[in-house]
Amino acid sequence: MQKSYLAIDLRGYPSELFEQVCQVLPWRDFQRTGRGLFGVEVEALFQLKSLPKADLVFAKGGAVQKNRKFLNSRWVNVLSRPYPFDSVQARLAAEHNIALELSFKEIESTIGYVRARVLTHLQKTVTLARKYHAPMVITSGASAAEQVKSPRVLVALGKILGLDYGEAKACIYTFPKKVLEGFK
Amino acid sequence: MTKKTLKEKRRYIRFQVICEENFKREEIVTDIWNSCLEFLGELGASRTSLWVHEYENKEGIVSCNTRSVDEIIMCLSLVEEIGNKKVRTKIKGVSGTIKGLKDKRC
Repeated sequence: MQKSYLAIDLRGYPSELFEQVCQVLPWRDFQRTGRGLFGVEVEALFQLKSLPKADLVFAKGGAVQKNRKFLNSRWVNVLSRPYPFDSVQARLAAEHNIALELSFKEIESTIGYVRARVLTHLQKTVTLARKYHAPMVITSGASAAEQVKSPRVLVALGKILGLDYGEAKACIYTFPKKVLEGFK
Repeated sequence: MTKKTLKEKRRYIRFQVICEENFKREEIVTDIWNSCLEFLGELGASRTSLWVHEYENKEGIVSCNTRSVDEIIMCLSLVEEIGNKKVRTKIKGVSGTIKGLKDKRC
């Protein structure tokens, strides 16, 4: 079943299920170990001024002002956890071709009330991103071999969040590929 | 036009439990249902027509109606503990018949 899906995981652990996998490391501990794609995750705006040599730049969102500054930056490729997300941010993401990340790990690592809130935020992100045609990527967030999720599970997550089947598949292959190619 | 039959269509999902321990079917059933109730709630779980068919040699088959395949895949992926032991689950395939699942090379 898994081999019928072409998929790219932009935040995961190398696995044969995916065509390409990008390993994301925090800005402070960034160090290339071996081959493959490596991404760096920044948490603050000043970290963008001294970026290490990485294939992708992930920005960890937070407050509205911080998210908007990340979305106006030309260095950022993917914005993760952009809560609270609003229409202005969605428009900026579509305009500057910055992908919004929907991560399986956020749901897996939470429980009860917090999981319900995370799901609400993710659903709202999907609704706004669909309206303004902002790119979205679905990632597994795996940091070890046993945490790797199959592409079918990621498609199921997309469908749970309100995407249709084609859009969910685009979020695991078409958009990640465009992000890697720089939206040429 | 009225439907010829009201019998709902089913999908069968094959999964694998990755853990050194061997579990009984009853333990698996309890934890899959707990994961479902936690993620979908009582009303949501009731709408899936979930049924655990068989479980042996760390592989099992569950069935649900065609509308809730993605919900059940999510619930199976979110099972983290069985009988107080940390486990991982892997979805091996989805099919319209049990025979189709067994024939599938996963």
